[in-house]
Amino acid sequence: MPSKLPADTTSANVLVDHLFRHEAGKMVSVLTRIFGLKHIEIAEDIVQDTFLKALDEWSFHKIPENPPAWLYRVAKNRTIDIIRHQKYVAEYEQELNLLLKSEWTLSHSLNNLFLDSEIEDSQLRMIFTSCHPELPKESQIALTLKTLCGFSVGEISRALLTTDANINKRLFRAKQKLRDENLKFEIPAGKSLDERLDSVYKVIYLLFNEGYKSSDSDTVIRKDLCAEAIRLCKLLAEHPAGNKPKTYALLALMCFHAARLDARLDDNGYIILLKEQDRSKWDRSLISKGYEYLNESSEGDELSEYHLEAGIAANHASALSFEETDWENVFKLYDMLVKIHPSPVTYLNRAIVIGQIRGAKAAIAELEKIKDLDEYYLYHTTFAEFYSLLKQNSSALKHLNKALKLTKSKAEKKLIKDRIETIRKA
Amino acid sequence: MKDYLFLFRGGDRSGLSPEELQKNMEKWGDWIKGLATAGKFKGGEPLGAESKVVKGKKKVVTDGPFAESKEMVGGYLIVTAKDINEATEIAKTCPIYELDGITEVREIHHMDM
Repeated sequence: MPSKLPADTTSANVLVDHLFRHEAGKMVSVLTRIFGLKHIEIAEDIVQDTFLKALDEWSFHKIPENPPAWLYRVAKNRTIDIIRHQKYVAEYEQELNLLLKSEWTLSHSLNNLFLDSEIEDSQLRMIFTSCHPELPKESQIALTLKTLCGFSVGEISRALLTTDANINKRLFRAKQKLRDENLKFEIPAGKSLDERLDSVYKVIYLLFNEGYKSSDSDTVIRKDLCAEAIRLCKLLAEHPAGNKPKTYALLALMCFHAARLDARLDDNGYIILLKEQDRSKWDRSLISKGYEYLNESSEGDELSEYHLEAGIAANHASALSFEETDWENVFKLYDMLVKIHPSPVTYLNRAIVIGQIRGAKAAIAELEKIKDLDEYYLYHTTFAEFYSLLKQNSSALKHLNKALKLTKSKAEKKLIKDRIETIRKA
Repeated sequence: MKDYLFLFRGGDRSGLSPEELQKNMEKWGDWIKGLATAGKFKGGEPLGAESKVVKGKKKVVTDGPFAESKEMVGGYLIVTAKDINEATEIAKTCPIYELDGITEVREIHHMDM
């Protein structure tokens, strides 16, 4: 009976945080390149088997010196098994088909695919595929979390505040579309690259926002979403296909926002408004990262919405207090932003800035011009803020009560109720 | 001191996400390391999923014994303890219960030399 000693008790042989999650994204990407998008499930199964094997080995014994290399070796062996068994049946990705079907080149080709540069390449292919404009937006996000971030259905549904059934449906639709449309697992080139990049940016930004804005889901998974969005954007920036000023602008924007993540909620998970946030809690290292990326983003002459939003976020990040914010500059940026991206929410934010510069009356006049936001709770809380500044408390209360009906979030409801209390007492 | 065999059943981990698998693994690793540091750990291995049962005078071979993974023995550990009560207390600190697993604690009878 073998009686091995477990992991030696002196050395701190621990795994990097999220190692499995990130390695899952790498391995699924590489394996999808081998088996093709039609067989993405085979890739996912191999990865799951690999982790289960690691679990058995590593919890009873020592964690290997180089955990990723161990995982790749197991995944490769499993892949070779599967390829040998199906050699005459399956068609692999075109460029690899012959190499994988010959015993002479099989093992060597697999080894090459697990080189760092090729892993990066595969992950980029996966990013462009998961964010393919042919897929519905909701499916893009779910698929990105599943394939690149190794999230389970349960984790995705918790992160996006929906049900498992819903996420399963979105993933099913995505995979169906990948098969039906015969989409290629590739990095687009030439003209289509820019278009496809825009689609990737949108998904990354949405992913980040899901993590940033939602306050009811649990904090850990919320932060994970933000971290994953930043990680994916970095992957993009490090690859020639994604190394663009816009990529850096998006990175900068997310860093500035992420820096405020901890200051945004109190100990009970309730929202603290920008005005009242303890700015000493802002993460200075993320802010300086933000500035670095903002610098990188200024190459070239493109001024995207991400550039402008990053500029606005940078202004807030550098202000010592809410009152000391350079509102004139922020206003200029918003003015440019509404030209590129004239969304009602951008107009709403612009109106708030106008209020800081020209006062509550001017802000209310701007707010009244905005269409299509009547069902948005922040539209009404903004009205209420400016009405209360003008001491028009009954109008303020009317809007707060309307806002209360429009949000389901506990944290947001609490914030609104507190405001109603304060104004009633005044 | 006596030796006890811990038989782990169930605790199916196949549905966990990579993140959850990593956490689960870290818990097991910490647990076993803790036992080793305390001088309680004598050995143990996980067991593969494939299993055969040989039965009866005719030595009939079947797959099994259990079709359901929740009853399958997934691994064993040998632990030293004063008596079965201490061994059971140790078994209670195992991470297997989070995933509805079972630990069976049995004393190992060594031959007196």
